[in-house]
Amino acid sequence: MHEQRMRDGMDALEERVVRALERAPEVTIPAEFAARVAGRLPVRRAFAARPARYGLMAMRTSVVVLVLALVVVAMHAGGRGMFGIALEWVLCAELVALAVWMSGVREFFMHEA
Amino acid sequence: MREHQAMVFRTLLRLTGSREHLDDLAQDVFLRLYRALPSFRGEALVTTYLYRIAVNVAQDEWKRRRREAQSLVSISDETSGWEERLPHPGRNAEEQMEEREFQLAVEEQMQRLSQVERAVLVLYHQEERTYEQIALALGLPIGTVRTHLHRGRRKLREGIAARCSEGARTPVKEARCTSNG
Repeated sequence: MHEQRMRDGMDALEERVVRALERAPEVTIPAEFAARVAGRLPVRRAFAARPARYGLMAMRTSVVVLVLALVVVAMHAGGRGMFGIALEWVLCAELVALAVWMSGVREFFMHEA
Repeated sequence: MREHQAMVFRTLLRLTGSREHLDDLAQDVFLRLYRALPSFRGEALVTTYLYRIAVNVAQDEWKRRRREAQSLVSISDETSGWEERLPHPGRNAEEQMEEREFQLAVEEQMQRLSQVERAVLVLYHQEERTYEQIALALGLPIGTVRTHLHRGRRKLREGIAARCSEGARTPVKEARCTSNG
């Protein structure tokens, strides 16, 4: 009997404690609070990000190098073997591929992505 | 910011137990949120971020108070005592006074809990957050949140019961402690 009374008492107390916890305090927020916080925010400087275009630069350099290589190969045209011919074809193919890529196909694929 | 400021003020008030420096602390919360925004990846709600920051700011405030060797904030001082302004329409003066006293006792006992227990109780009961949200905000496993919640409530209940039995030996007063209002 006494135990039951004690348990009921503790349950009632628990319930009351929970009610007290659920009661949110009333707060008064100063009218200028938002403005004051906004005034203390650090100003972020905008910066212009310029694209580096490293890929394009590498392609242009490669074109120049390939043209020079083709000239050198052409200068040693006499008495060349299979290796010389294969090298010339490979260099030509690379040059054509780069030229096609730079001529506008690049933009097309980049926009697709 | 206006949308969340009341929540930040409420949470900080309950966590620190004082109105002292409340504006400054709330300001600190929003400034920290602003600084954290670049790393905010949208995985959690901004409110979860805000709760986490508010709990950290409250913990820093406790550390600052300890450093300054201030005495434990009395809940009945002029800067706190928010519960005294609670409206209780339709109640008589005695009931209102009892309710205020009980609220004071709860707030006083809250300040005796550990920081994490207090944070869990405030987020669960006052802010009505789920276990998952609290776990996310405090960086704790859900099981630990549950443990802190039950332990915190038990400590509160025991503290208040002890206070009641100390201060009120008569059966009538004891009944007031456990009455449902």
